[in-house]
Amino acid sequence: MEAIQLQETALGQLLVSSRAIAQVAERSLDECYGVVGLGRGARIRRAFALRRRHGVEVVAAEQGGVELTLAVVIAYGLNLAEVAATVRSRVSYEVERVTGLEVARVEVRIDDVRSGS
Amino acid sequence: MSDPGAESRVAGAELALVRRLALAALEALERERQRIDGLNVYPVPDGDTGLNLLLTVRALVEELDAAESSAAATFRRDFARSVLMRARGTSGVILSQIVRGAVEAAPASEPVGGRALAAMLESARAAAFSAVARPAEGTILSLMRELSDEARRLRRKTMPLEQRLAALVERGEQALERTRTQSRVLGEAGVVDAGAAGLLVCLRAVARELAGEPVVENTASLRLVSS
Repeated sequence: MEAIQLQETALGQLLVSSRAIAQVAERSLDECYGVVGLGRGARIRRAFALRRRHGVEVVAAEQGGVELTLAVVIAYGLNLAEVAATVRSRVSYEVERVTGLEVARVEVRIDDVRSGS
Repeated sequence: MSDPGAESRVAGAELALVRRLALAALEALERERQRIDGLNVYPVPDGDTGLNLLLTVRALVEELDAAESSAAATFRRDFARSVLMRARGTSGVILSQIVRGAVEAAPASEPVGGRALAAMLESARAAAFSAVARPAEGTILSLMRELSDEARRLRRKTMPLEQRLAALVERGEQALERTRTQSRVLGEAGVVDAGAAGLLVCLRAVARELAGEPVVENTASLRLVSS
């Protein structure tokens, strides 16, 4: 599992797993308006990308911070671009707030559209 | 002779009334926009809730204007879809879902009585809640649920529509105040929810317009920010 550095201190590094970051992103996705489910999985870009079945992929960005790929199912009838934009802003705000890491990039992938529950 | 499109057709007089009510909501949002923006600390504190609601209701009024010349059989469906497509931000998208639900359940021609209003708000509530996996408490959704509950509670009571809406506004004021304690983020910031405040601004404007009350802002009764 990939670990991402939060801080480098004299006593050693503080690390957070990409799984933990994915959990934060998932919880936030569940409350995003318009999102009725998570996608089949983010595109696997690296061998250690995780939790593919839950639709959130987290990798360390080359220039620091993290990159997120969010695969979602959106409610039918809504403006997809508008929902995707609010998903991006909400999830990146939440991940930055909880981890203190910079979210360098967020890709939102709409896997499917279906009627809400 | 039966007309298959009659149920979705909207008479000119009704459309004019709906437009007048929507315009009242738009004007109220224009006045209150900055105050609503200032409440926006959740989910992302980017201070755009008032603007998003304003742009969404402006789009709604424009769609009504565009429809005024045609009373097509598909008017309701087309109108609801257009507003959904033009909605801005989370609060705007939820408001457009509320509008869709209410429009779908609105009676074809008879006046809106207690049962019809309760059915419209129940449909609006269902539409609003249909597009989120885990609804957060202390939001525009919480207010919508309470408005729907209140309309159902009053549905068998005989009273004019104006009085019914006044009761909804009163319940809405209480529900808005409750958002402070329903959400930790709002409680810490000492504010009510911005989206719920915006929906209540719209409802209050509609109620006043129907009652023929002069539009004088009673700042004390707004209670948007903690005193």
